Amino acid sequence: MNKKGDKLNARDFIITGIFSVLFLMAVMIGGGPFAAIPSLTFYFPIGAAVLAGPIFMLFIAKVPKRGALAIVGVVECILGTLTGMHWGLNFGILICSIIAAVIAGFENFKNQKLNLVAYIVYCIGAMGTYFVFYFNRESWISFMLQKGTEQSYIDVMSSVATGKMMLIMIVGTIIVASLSGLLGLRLMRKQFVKAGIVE
Amino acid sequence: MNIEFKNVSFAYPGKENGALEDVNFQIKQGEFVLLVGESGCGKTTITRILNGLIPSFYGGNLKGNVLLDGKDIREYKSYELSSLVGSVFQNPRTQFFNADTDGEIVFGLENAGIQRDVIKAELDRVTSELHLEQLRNRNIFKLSGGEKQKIAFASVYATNPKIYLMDEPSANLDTQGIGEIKQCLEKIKREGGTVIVAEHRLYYLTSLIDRVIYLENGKIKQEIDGDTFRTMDLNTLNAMGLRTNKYELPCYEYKKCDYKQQETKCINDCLSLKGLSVELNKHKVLNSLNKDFYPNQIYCVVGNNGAGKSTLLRAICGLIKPSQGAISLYGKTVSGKERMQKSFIVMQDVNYQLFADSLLNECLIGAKEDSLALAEKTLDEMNLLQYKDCHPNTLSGGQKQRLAIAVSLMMDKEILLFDEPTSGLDYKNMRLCANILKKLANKGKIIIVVTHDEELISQCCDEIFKLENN
Amino acid sequence: MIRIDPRTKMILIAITLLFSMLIPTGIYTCLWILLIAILGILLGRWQKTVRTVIVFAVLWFISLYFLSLFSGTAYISLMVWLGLVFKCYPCCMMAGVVIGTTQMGEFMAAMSKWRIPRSVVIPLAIIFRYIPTLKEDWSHIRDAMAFRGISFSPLCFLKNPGTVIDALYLPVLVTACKSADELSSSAITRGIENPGKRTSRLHIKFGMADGVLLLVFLLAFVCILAINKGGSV
Repeated sequence: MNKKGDKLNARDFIITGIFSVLFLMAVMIGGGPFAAIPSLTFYFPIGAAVLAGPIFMLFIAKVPKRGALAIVGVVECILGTLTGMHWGLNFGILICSIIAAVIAGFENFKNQKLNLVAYIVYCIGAMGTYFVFYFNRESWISFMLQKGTEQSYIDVMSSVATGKMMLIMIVGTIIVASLSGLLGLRLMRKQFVKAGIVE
Repeated sequence: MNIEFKNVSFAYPGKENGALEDVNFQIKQGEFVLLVGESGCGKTTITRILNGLIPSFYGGNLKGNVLLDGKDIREYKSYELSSLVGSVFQNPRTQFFNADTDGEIVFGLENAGIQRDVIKAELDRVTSELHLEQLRNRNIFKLSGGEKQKIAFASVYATNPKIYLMDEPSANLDTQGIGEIKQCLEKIKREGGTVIVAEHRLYYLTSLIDRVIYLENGKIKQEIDGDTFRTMDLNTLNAMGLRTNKYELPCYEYKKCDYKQQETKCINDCLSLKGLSVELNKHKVLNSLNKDFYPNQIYCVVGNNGAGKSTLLRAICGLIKPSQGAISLYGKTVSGKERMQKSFIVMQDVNYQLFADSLLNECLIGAKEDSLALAEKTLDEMNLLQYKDCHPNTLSGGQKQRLAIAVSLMMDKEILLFDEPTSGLDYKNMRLCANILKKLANKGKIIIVVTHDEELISQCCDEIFKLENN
Repeated sequence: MIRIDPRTKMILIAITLLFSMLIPTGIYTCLWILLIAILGILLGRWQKTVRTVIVFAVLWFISLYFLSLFSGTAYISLMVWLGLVFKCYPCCMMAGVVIGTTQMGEFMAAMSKWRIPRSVVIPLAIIFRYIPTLKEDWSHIRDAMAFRGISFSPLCFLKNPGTVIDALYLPVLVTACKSADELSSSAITRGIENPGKRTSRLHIKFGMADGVLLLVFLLAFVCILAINKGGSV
C-alpha cells in the first residue's frame, strides 16, 4: 500500500542524508585505494561496487520513492564537484542514479531482480571518467594536462587503458556489483527485515 | 491549551507493544502530569500522539478523538503543531540537528521563518532565563549528556510552546544532568506551561507533579493526584512496577579509592590495579589508582561526569593502554590483549554489540562445534529461551542486555564490566538486572558496574567506590 | 575575524574549481593555496589552515628536491601520486575552510535564499551532521568486535565470512536507522517541514568583506589565466 505517495518528506530527506554518508564511505573504502594508483585506477569502479550493495538494498526499502535515489545522485555529484573530481565521474553518478531510480521504481522497488539491475546501473556511474577517457582520449588528456596532471601519469594511464582494460573494468564492475547486490538482497531477507528496521 | 483524549485507541503496525485501548483523560493548561507504567504500557505512545508523530511518522491506525482546545489534533500540520507542542526526547546524542549550540537553540524559530531580530532577542532571553551562558557558542559534540539535554530543552523553550512533552528525558543522564533538567522543569511550571512527562525515574519529579496517570497494557489503570502520590510508600510503588518517588540520600559508605602505595593483602585471588594512571589527550584522567577487585562481589563505581569512570572500565578491559601502572589478574600480570580476551563490557547502547540474525546464532558466534546445548541453557538462564530464533534487534533494551550477558557467559569471560546498565529501565527490569548481576557474581565472575542508579546500587551492590576528579 | 555570506563561500569554491580545471600545477597553485590560507585565517580558522599549508609546503618541497633521489617505478608512482594530491589540494582545502567556518543554520538559510530545494539542502546538511556521529558509532562497534574476537583481517574473514559480513553491516545500519529516526523526530517536532522561507539568527547578506574577497579571488584568477594563456602561446 503506497499511501505515502511519491512525495518525499523531511524524514525521507534525513534518511537520504545519512545513507549518502554510508554510500560515500563504502565507495571511498572500497575504491579509494585503486583510484590513487595510476596503473590500478581502472579498477576503481570495481572496488567502489564491493561494499555498497547491502546499503543500497536497505535504502530503497526504507524510502521506496524514486526521488530518494535521485537525490543521492545529486548530492554525490555536488560533493564530487566541490572536491574537484572529474565531471565524468560526477555526472556519471548523477545520471546512473536517476536511471537506477527509474528502473527500480517500475515495480515500486519491490521486485528483487529489478533492484539488482538498478544497483548494477548505479555502479556503472562510477565508470564515467574512464569512459570519457577511452572514447575521447585527446580531449581528456588535454583537459587533465591543463588541470595539472603529470604527463607521466597520463602516459601510464594511456598504456594501461587498452580496450581489454575497459572490458575488464566493465565486466568486473558488473560481476562485483551483482555479487554485492545479491549479498544485499540476502542480508535484507536474513537480517534487515527480521530485525525490523525496514517498514 | 486544554488537552482531551476521547476513546483513543491505537496500535503500531505489526507490533503489540505500546498500544492504547480506549484511553480517556483531560489535562488543563498549566498542569504537570506524569505518565507512568511498565515498559510498553503506552506512555510514550501518548506523547507521540500529542506531538503528531503518530500517525504521520509511525503509521498505525489512530481511533478516537484527540482535542486541543476543542480542535482535533489531526487538523494540524506537523509544523503548526510544533509551535504549540514542544518535545524533548531521551537520547541526547541524536536530538540535535546543528553542530553549534546557538544554532540549535534557535532551530525551531528559524524553521518557522521568524524575523532575525526576534530570533536574537529570544536567544538572549532563553540564555538568561535558563542560565546557559556557559553553553553559548560551543560545539554540541563536545558537551556532556546533561548539557546536550539542556540545549534540547532550550531549543523547545525558545519556541514558547503551550505544552511541553518529555519522553524519558533523564534516561541517559547522570545525577548532575538530572538536576539540570529538574531546574528547567521547575521554571516552566512557575510560568504556567503544561508539562507532560513519560518517565521511569520518578524521584526528581515528585515535588513538581500535579497528577499521575498510571497505565497498564494500554489502558489507564489509575489517576493519582499529586499529593497522594507524594505520600505513597516504596512498597506500593514497587508493586505497581514503579520506581521510588523519593530521593534518599544513600546511607551506604563509599569506600575511598586509594591513591597511595599500599600493601595488598593477597593479590593471587583478585584483579589488582597498582598505580594505574591513564592519560587522555594530555590530560591525566586516572592518577595512580590502587584497587583490588575480588570475584563473587559486585562493585559499583560512582562519580561525577569526567571523573574517569568510563576510562577506568576501558583501561581494565584493555581498550585503553594505561600510561603507568600494572594490572594483574589472579597473581599474573596481564597485557591489554589478554585482558580483552578475559573481559567483556556491556555497553550503554547494546546495539553496538549484537551481530547475528537470531539469539541462538548470537550466542554461537566464535563458539566451538557442539555448543548448541550450552547456548540454549545460557539463554534459558537469562529468561530468553523463548526468543531463541528471534532477531536480537526485536528485543527490548533489558532483553538485549541479557543477551549480551549470555554472550559473555558463552565466551567464558571472567571480568564483566557494565556501563550504566539500567538507564531507561523500568522497575521490574532493574530488579531483573540486579538479580542477574548477583547470579553472575555467584558464578565467580568479577563484576564492576558503573552506575548512578541508586536503586540498583541498593539492590545488589557489595562495595561502592567513588572516583573523584583529581 | 570576519564573517562572510555562505553564498560568497560557494562562489569562491566555484572559482577555485575553475582555477584547478584550467591552470596546470605550478607556482600558481602555491599562490592559490596562499590565497585560501589567508581566507581561512581571516575567517578565524587559523590552526587547521596553518597545518594544511605546512603539509602542502612539505609535499611541495619533497616534489622539488627529493623526488630526483628516486628512480624507476618508485619515481613514477610517487610523482604521479603527488601530482594527484596537488591537483585536488586547492579544492579540498577550500571545501575544508568553507565547511569548517559555516554553521548549519546559516548554510540552510543561505540556500533557502537561493531557492535551492530542501530536498537537496537537508541531505547535504545531514551529511555533515552525521559524519562525526558515524565515527563515534564505528569506534564503539570496533571495540565490541574486539571482545568477540572478530576483526576484518583476511584470516578472520576466511574462517568466518558470514560473521564478519554481519558484523560489518548490521550494527552500523541498525544504529544508522535508529539515528535517522531520532534525528527526524527531533527535527519534525521543531517544524522542519514548514514550507515557508527559513530565516537565520545570523545576517545572511552580502557585505563589504564579501565584495572585497570576491574581487580579489576573481582578479587573481583572471590575471593568472591571462599570464598562463599568454605564456603558452
